[in-house]
Amino acid sequence: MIKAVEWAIGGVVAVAIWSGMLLNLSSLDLDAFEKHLVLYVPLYAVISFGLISLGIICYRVATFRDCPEAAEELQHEIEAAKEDLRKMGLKF
Amino acid sequence: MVKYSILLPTYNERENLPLIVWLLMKHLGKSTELSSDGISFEIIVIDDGSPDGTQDVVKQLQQIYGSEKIVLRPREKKLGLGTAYVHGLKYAKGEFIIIMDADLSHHPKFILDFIRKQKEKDYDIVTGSRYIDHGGVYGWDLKRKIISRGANYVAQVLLRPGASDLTGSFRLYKRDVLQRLVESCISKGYVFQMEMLVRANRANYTLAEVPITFVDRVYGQSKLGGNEIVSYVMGLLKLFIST
Repeated sequence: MIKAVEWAIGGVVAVAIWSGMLLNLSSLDLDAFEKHLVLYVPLYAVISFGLISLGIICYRVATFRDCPEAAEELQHEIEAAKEDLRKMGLKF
Repeated sequence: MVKYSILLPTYNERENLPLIVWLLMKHLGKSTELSSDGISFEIIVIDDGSPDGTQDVVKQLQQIYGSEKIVLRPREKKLGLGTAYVHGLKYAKGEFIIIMDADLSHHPKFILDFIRKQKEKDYDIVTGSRYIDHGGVYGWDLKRKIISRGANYVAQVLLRPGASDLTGSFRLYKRDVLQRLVESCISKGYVFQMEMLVRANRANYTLAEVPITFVDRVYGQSKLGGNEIVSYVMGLLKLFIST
């Protein structure tokens, strides 16, 4: 299934559940804190998604490995290659 | 019988091409558990009419290594990467196709890892990843890393492509898999490589990853400008609504 459609279905389902809870808020036996949670759950969801995403990206940037050893190895090989190729008659 | 065809699209790579060829010979030609007398491969250079004499240097390399080993299939002018692969595929004799950059950012030694991994479970595609354990980059500043990780994260969330490195261009494909994928991909630049993997994922091709190090030798200038970011986002959204 096309990813945009998957997201749209997910969104519709989430909105349906939330609005169902909102419409029945008075008949549900909830205290003030629980009512607040129901009212603001989309906002909290967006905020926590943002924070988790930010955390993941920061972690991945911080652990993105630099590989100076790869650059150094390549440099040595380039020098060897140039010398060898010259010997074989290559004109750079 | 050639088993692996390495496609090297080039544009003004006169300096780097001899080096990459030498490195390919060194690492693929050596005796390993894969083969006692080296891997059976050919190098197909698809040069887009470089004005710097890249093709002259290819001819010199053919003198040294033979024109069976190094095949020159030039094109008139600079055309897209996707069509370069289509062009190369027409002449490739290998059962597997390896694509890589000719600017030395991809080290040929990793090809042995690609081949080992492919054999493990007869994978359709093996892709190099900078983002997994033992992978990495050299020559990127913090800004570049943030953009790369951020762009990759957004793509992962929206597309769930089943691969960690979507924009990399160091990969091994089964020949017919590459042929079929490349025909269905229309994007350009970074998005092209991403589209290839996303479509591979949707078509249920099997894919494995091996870590690679990416040595960016283009100092001083960031290849990721504002334009690239805009076209990346547009390309991503296009894939989001079409795959």
